[in-house]
This record gives sequence, C-alpha cells and structure tokens, in this order.
Amino acid sequence: MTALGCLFMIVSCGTVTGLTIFCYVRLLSARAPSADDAASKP
Amino acid sequence: MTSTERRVPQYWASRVGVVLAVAGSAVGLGNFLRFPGLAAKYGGGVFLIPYFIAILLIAVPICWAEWSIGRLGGRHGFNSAPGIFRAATRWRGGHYFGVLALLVPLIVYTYYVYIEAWCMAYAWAYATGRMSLGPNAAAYADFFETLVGARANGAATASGSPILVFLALSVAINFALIYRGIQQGIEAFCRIAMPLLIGCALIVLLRVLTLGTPDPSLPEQSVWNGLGFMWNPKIAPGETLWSMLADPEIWLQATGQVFFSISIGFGIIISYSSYLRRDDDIVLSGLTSTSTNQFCELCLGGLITIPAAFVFLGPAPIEKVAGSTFGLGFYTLPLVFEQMPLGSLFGFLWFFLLFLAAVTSSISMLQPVLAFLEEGTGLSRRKAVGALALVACAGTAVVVHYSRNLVALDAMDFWVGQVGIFLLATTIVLIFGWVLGTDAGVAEIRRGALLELPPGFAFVIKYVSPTYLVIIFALFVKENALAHAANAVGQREAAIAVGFVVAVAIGLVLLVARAGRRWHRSEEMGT
Repeated sequence: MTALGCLFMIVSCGTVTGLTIFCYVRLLSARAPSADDAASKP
Repeated sequence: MTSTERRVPQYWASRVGVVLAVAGSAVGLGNFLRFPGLAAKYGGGVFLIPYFIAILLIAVPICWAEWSIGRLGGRHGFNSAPGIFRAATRWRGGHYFGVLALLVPLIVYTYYVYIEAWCMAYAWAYATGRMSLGPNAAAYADFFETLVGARANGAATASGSPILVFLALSVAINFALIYRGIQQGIEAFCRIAMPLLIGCALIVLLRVLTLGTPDPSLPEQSVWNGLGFMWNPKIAPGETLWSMLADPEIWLQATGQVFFSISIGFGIIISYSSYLRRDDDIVLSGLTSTSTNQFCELCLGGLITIPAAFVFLGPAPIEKVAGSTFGLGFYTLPLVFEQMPLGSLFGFLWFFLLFLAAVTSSISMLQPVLAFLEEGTGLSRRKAVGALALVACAGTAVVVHYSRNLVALDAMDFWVGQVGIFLLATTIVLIFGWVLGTDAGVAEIRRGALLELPPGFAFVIKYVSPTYLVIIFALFVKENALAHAANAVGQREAAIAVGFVVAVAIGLVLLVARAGRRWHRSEEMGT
C-alpha cells in the first residue's frame, strides 16, 4: 500500500467515522420531542 | 389541502428510529459489494474524488430536499409521493409527479426481493455446512447459476427449486413488517437489524484485518497489499490523474453509485419523512442517515470485500469480476470464505448481514406504495397490503421465471433502477428549487433543525445539483441507453420485463388520476 493510498483510506474512513459519531452524539443529546410537540401536529 | 381519508396518523417513535429506518433503506448490497468493486475497477483512490464530489453536490442536498418535501406533505396529511407533490407544488395536477416515485420503489422491490432470497439461501447454506464446495471457482459459479436459475427460463420456478422456499420466506417477512405499520413494523425491525448487521460486519472486518499473509509462499498477498489494491490511486499507464478524471465514465459510475447507495431518487425518503412531526429535525437526521450509510460503505464494505478477496485469490480474479456485484458477492467471496479459517462462520455472518441489509431496504420500497393505496384509493391496511402483494409478486414472478442469464432482472434494473432514479431525483430537485422555491424550501428545512444548514445550500440545490444531474444523465443515456433499448427489442426476457414495467406504470397513472379526483372533491367540500 502506498503512502497516498494510506492517506486516502485514513482520511475517508476517519472523516466518515468521525462525522457519524458526531451526528449520533448530537442526535441523542438533543431534547426529545415532548408530548406538546406531538400534539402540535395538525 | 388535506388527504381525503381521516386515517389514524402514524409517526416515528424516536429520532434514532427514523434515522435507522432511512439508513436501513440506504444500506444494502450496493454498500458491501458494488462500491468496493467499482472503486477497485476505476482507479481505487482516484474513484473517491468524483465519489465525494457527488456526495457533496448531489447526495446530501437532494437528501435534505427529499426530507423537507416529505415532512411538508406529511403536515398536509399525505404519506405518499402523489399527495406530497400535490401539497408541495400547490397545484391540482401535482400528484402526477408522484407516479414515478411509486413506480421506482415498486419495480425495484420486485427484483430486489429475489436477490434478498439469494442472500438468505447462502446464509442457510453456510449455517448447515452446504457451502464447502472445495477450491474450484467453477463449483461456486455452478452453485449460484443453479440456485437462481440462470441457465434457462423456468429453472428457478421448477418444482423442487430451493430458492422458492427462501423467496416465499423473504416475501412473507417483508409484508408482515409493513402490515405492522411504521412504528411496530419498520422502525422496530430497523432498530434491531441495523445494529445487528453493523455488528456482524465489524466481526467479519476484524477477521479480515487480522488475516496477515495466510500463504507464506505468496508474501505479496497480504492484507496490507489488499487494502492498497482497494485504496491506492491507480493511474493507468500513459495516463495522469487529470486525464483519468477527464473521463466521463468515472463520474458516471461514481454518481450512479452514490444514487444507488443513498436511496435518493427512490421516492423512499419522501415517504418516510412524511411520518415526522411538524417540528422534527431533518438537517441532523438526514446527515446522520447519510453518514451511517457512508460508514457502512467506506469503512465496512471498503475494508472487507476487496482486501479479503485479494489475500486469498490475488489481484487477477478481482479484476475479472470487479464491475459485477453478483460476481464479486456470489462467486468470489464464497471461494474466499472456503479458504479462510472458520470460513463457514464468517460466510454465514456475511450473508446474514447482507440479508438484513436487503430486508431493511426492501420494506422501505413497499411502504411508499402501501401509503398511496391507503390514502389514494381508501383501501384498508389489510386490503392495501393484499393488493400490493398481488402486484409485487406478479413482478417477482416475471423476474424469477424469466431467469435466463438474469436478463429480465437486468432490464428492470436498467430502465427503472437506474434511468428511473435519475429522472425522479431531477424531478425532486426541480420541484424543491424552482416550484416550491429555495426561500420556502430552506425555511422548511430549517424548521426544528438541530444543525445549521451549510452556507451556499440554496445556490447548490437550485443551480448546481440540477445542472450536474442533467449532464450526468445525458452522458448515461449516451453510453448505455441504445444498447439496452436494443436488448429490450431483441431479447424476449427483456421485452417481457419492460412490458410489465409499462403495464404497472399505466396502472399507477390511472390510480393516481383517481386519487387526484378524490382529493379534489375533498378540497371542494372543505372550502
């Protein structure tokens, strides 16, 4: 494996893994919709 | 504008539930088989350049557009594309735009469920020790062709054909899940299936990355070199990086992969997001489902499939099947598992995870049509599921019976699974950017958002995405359409498959017209 190939792999997989973890952490830490939110649906 | 029938509205139970359902819809065989094969074929790391550009300019913007149009339609009481487009365009003929968003998932389902049955059959064969076919590659090709009936029409439907049992089970699982509804069926299944399939993939990945150099007499066939075969930018002799990137084929393949993989242009996200509540986030949820899909594609598919095949078989067999999803998945990998220590276990895990990935995708293809039958024709859930099963099984019967060289399956995949999704994605982008308008569209996306939209989104979705789509589609038609049109005329199986697609399309147009009249009467009574 060349250095450039290694770079492609690390950057691609690292970025996607980091983004996925970030997204799930943000999603799970956000306030859950309340019953009032649910009731606001027409 | 509201749906005629006051059905009990359905919603997702949780944010993670909807994200896993959308990600489950996207994650499929394309992530684990098609992407690694294409990347290896089109220059490894070089392929990733147009691939990431397509994700940024096409996939993510269209994904957000689909989520927002779907949630907007849901707010008006619609859960299927015809009603959703009618609400989004604020035009009484807008429901006709939704015909394609019903046709695409329904037709793709008809052949996808057959592939799902192959995965189940392979997993069962590994679990029962029937996949030890020795080191001869021809034995695996023979096993596959016999199983799917590729040698002659009617071979797969002949009495005693084992694939029919697996097909019946796959169909039953799909319809049982959609019958149970959004929360109890689709969401509940995806909350279990998605972590389970990622867990199975991580176990297989760990095995592959610790293979080292299994045959000391072939030191070049190491995992490290296998990763290099997948990820090294491979510049062909006499070419430069720029000349390779100047070839439209690599852009076409990368964009096609992104489309196929992320499930944009399938009409699925629109339907799923209509079950969101009014102020539920879509920016972070859309990004999370996309990144989950990309994780499965790059970090699991990209690190497992090609390196495993390289370690045991070397580069030549991979180059031979790299462009073929079925060749790589059903001929080459079983040969790899045969040579791997504890290969039966890892073979089972691999095909079981492919089966789970296929089910989470196929149920998402049925839901948009089921929602339409319920709200557009007024059928009860039970009757709508029955009617949908009838049509879907008829399509599957065409694919399974006309199985010679999988010509019928290929024809449906080309005209609907490729041409159809390009057309539908273009329709969605144009409706979002030019009919709904970017100001209203962006305001809709920002409602309840847990993450800021990136700057320039409005410009990209209005100008860049449609231009990019039209150019790529024109190239696609130029490269492929003539050959496939000739096939449809010259090959009986392809002609029958295309005939079925046309018949379903006509039926859907008539049903959508009828639904439009119902909604119109309902609006007249409401005003």
